[in-house]
Amino acid sequence: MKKLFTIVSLIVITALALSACGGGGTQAEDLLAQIMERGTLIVSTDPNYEPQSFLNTEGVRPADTKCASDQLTATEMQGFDVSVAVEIGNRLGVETCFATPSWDLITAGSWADKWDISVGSMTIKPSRQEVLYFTTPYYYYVAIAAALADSDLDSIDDLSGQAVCMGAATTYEDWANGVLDIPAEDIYYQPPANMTTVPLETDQECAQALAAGRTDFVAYVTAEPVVDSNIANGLPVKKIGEPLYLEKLAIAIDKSASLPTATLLEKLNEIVQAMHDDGTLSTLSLEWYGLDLTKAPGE
Amino acid sequence: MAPILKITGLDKYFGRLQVLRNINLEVNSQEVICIIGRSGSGKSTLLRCINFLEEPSAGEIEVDGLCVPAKLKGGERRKMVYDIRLRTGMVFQEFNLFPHMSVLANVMEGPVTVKKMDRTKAQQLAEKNLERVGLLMKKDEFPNRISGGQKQRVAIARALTMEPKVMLFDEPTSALDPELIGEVLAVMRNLANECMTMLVVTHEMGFAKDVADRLVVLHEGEIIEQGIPSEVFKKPSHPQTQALLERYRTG
Amino acid sequence: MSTEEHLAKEKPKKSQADLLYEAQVRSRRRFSLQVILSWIALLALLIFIFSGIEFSIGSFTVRTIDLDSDFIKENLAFIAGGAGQTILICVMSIILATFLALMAALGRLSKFAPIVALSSFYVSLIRGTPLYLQVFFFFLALPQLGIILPGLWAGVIALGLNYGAYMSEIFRAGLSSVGKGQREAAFALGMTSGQMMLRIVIPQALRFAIPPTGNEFIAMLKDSALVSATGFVHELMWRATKVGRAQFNNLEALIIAAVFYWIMTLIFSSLQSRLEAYMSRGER
Repeated sequence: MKKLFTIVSLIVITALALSACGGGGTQAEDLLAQIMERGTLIVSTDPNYEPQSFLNTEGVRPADTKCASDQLTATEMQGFDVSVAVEIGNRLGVETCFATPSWDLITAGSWADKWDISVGSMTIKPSRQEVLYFTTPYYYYVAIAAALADSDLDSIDDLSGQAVCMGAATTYEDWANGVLDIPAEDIYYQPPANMTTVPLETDQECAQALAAGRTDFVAYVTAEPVVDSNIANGLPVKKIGEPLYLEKLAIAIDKSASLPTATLLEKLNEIVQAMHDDGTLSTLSLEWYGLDLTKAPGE
Repeated sequence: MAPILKITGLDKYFGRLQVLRNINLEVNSQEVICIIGRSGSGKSTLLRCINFLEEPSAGEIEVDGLCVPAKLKGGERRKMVYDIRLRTGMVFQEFNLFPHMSVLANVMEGPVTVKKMDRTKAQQLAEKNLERVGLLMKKDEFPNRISGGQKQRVAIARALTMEPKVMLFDEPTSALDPELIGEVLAVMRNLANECMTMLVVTHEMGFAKDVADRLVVLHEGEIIEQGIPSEVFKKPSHPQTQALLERYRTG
Repeated sequence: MSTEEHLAKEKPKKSQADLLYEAQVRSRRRFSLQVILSWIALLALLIFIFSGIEFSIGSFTVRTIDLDSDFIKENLAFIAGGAGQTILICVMSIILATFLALMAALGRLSKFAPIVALSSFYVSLIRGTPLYLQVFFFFLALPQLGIILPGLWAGVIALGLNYGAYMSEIFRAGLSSVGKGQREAAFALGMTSGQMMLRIVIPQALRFAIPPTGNEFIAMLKDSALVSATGFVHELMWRATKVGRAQFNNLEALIIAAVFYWIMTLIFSSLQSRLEAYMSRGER
């Protein structure tokens, strides 16, 4: 009888293991080849942000999709990053599928080959470059602080001694803690003295908490387009002061991917450059942001 | 004729307390033995050593030619204990029916699971024994719907269906309301008339006098007296037996 | 005799006992009615708090929470779609959990020291760490062992393993609820330990464990929300938070999710009561 249980447990474990390792197939020579073979480009994005990346709740999943069951298809997603990713997939000749891990899993690297690339408005910074490869930037924006529209804060110095909110594991948190490691020429303002940081799950939480009347903090720091979007959606907030620093946003690839990624990186850089040159990126930026954010400052 | 049950030099300790001292007993086929004694005299323990529900500390148990010494170990012990249990059937004070099975399923359980008997055959056998105890009409009932006396009769049928050589009864009526005792004793009486070898631990003196071939008196783990019930009642030779019977007469 | 006198003669006098009984039934019914009315009042109060109505009495203003009803209308169906995933996850997890709980309970009773140790180690480890942590752990650790599982499977394993540890207590109680006497009767019939376990103890333990397991399932409906912490399972809570964040309607989205969790709980609780009533039918 005890034997019966041992046998049953062994069967269950084996079945699980087999179903897990099922996805292997032929071993491609590098990640780019595997993508072409598979016919899908798996892109990670965290659908928290309008207009970068958010769910298309009315989208219908196509019946003939090659995407896995826990990946979303292009029709189920929308946004600037989503459109960029789909365009890249088109130029590679494959279907674009979206995996939706939480943001800190994406920035930490060690993706365990669960997705191929990240197109998620990720800022290039040296600490991330230790675990990820970045392409050339596909667009740029600045970080800025925002507060309630009727507050009397209107410059960065006013934030001295105050509590300020931002998304956890973002460059905004780094900046607020004085540890932002991007090139000095891209940082316009240092954080004021005695500022306390209140990191929440995402900066969206910050905006909504302020709007809902919470007083745990008086301002929040995030990307300028996000604040624009907050205002456009009717949140009673305003920008405070000048832009804080420049963010260069690029596509990322996991350094610890099990297949070689050099060819993929090269190809992506090619595609990004082409999309800059033929105006695709500018068009998409205008469509989603109302501004062309794809030109490097000084261009 | 060799005795069908032979207990030789049986000792039993619970920790440091000695509960059975050098028990020697022979039971012949078709004999009905009633074992009496005060509580704590070791009567139940004696019975439970026979089918190894208690592990004897010393001595030998022999049933139908199979001799099992105390303190055997491992696989050999398992096999011999199993064989002894096939030769004996036990009826418990608390009935111990399986509540999640119907009466018929309870009675069939032994042959089907232990002897791997064909279900149809087992069912026929079970129904025959239910008939024997007068409960065939209750075969599809569940134990919680029948009375105590009926439960005990089903328990008897269940033990009988294993076709044992010796039936062991451990105070079969002690947990029953007085008006239900009679039906169980009647079944046991019939069994005796049908020539089943029975060892009965009981306080029912009436039954002992009428049905038992031999009375065995236990006191502090020892057999102090045994003999034909009517004689033991009339002229108990041991003072303790006297005291015991006094209690029964006045009680 | 006139018809009236006849009828008067025919009608039996109600005994004292009958009258008492009827009075009891009436007062019980009255009480139930009062409970139901109170429920409705509480529900109405809850709805009022979220109605957005604002009014003043003199200098005293009553403000209620104003919800964006457009958002609710547009996204209700999408968020509700996650409920299917939630139920799927829970059904699979409870099966795994039941299996593990039974194994752990049996393991604790084993004669082999390593098995006893394994069972208690498993229970202690899982009960000693948060479910949230375990979900991430399975997501991050398994790939390093070479096991790649789709998000759903990793979630089911984490949830099943977690609940299995807590439910092992239920099965331990179930196993010990089978009296010693029954085991002795089984042995007296000549059954081996294994046969006794399989035929006598486990069937009863399982029956014993069904109502508490039902309760665990209902708790699990809400814990399943943690399975999407890594972002790979698109169940009810995940859909609500993503849609809510992107459209700045966290509160509305969470309320929709809350309502659906409540509805699911109510449905399964009622099924659970029916099941318990059915199972205790046989008892006296």
